[in-house]
Amino acid sequence: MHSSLVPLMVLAMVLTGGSRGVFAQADEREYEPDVILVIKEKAFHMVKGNTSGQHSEHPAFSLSSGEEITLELRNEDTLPHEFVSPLFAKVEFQFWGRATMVYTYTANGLRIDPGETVGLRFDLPKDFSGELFKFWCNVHGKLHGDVLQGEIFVVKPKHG
Amino acid sequence: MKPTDTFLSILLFARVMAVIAGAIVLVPQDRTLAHDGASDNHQGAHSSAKPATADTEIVVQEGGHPILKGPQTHGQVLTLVAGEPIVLALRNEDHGPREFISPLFTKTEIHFLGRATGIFRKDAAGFRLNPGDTLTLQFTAPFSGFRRMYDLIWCGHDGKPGSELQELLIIMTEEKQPHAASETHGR
Repeated sequence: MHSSLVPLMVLAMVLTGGSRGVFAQADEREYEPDVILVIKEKAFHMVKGNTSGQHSEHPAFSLSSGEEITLELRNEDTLPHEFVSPLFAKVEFQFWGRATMVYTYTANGLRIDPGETVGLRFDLPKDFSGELFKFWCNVHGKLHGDVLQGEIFVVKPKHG
Repeated sequence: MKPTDTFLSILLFARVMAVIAGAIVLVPQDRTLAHDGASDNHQGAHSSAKPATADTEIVVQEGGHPILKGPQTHGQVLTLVAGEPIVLALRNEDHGPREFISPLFTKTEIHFLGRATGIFRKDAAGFRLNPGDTLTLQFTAPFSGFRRMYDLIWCGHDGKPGSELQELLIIMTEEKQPHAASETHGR
């Protein structure tokens, strides 16, 4: 009799533990960003990505042409900030999260409220190799000398 | 009652409780999980973020015809009042990607929640939604300087060449009349 109770308890524990495990998976991100940019203290900080342009005073990263890129933007500042680039006037980008569309004559992008995280996914055409795209906050990074700016350098993929 | 019977009763009770406990632990979590999972799919890192309740919906169902739903709709016409906020949900229930493009989206700030691809054109902007996706837009209807302003929303397929299916919806934005405003306040 006692032995019949043990499997039940084990089953209950396994099931409870199992459901916790699935919950943990649900909390995890469903994508793996190639680049993570955090905005805090009124500046862009690259948390993940291939650093490029060592002489640049702003964050700069390289992306491989001909590849699908996933970029994550987190606004950890206390103000809304924008992430706009002429790149997004040339390529379509998929986004997910909560943000505001930013549409200008020269650049497109998103405005992100404090505490929000937004994902962007886009394809970089192969013929973009060798091009440099600036990005900036259209509120706090438009002028020369502003800190909220950065650069994206498109390179040829190593395998091709 | 014999001690053996008491023991058996306790064991039976324990077994029943264990099964009930297992069921309680599993069932609601699985339900929440399914919801959270879907939510994560659409909102990325914002599983906790709740969209504002949509006043109006544009639903594209299988077959391609966009349907306007909500109190401010009349057939294929959505009526907005300039200066007033609106929450508009775009839902793609078709089998393929669908686009929702309008010049209106370039005239006012569009806040969104969900997943889509941004479409930026010279005189219009919009969104491409994959099948099953919903995007909630929140914006203030823009002033035009005219008593009534008409904008179109193109609800087309994913830019397929030769695709003739370009369903049109009309957004009519009216300037609020002073007497209408006082009537509203009086209600």
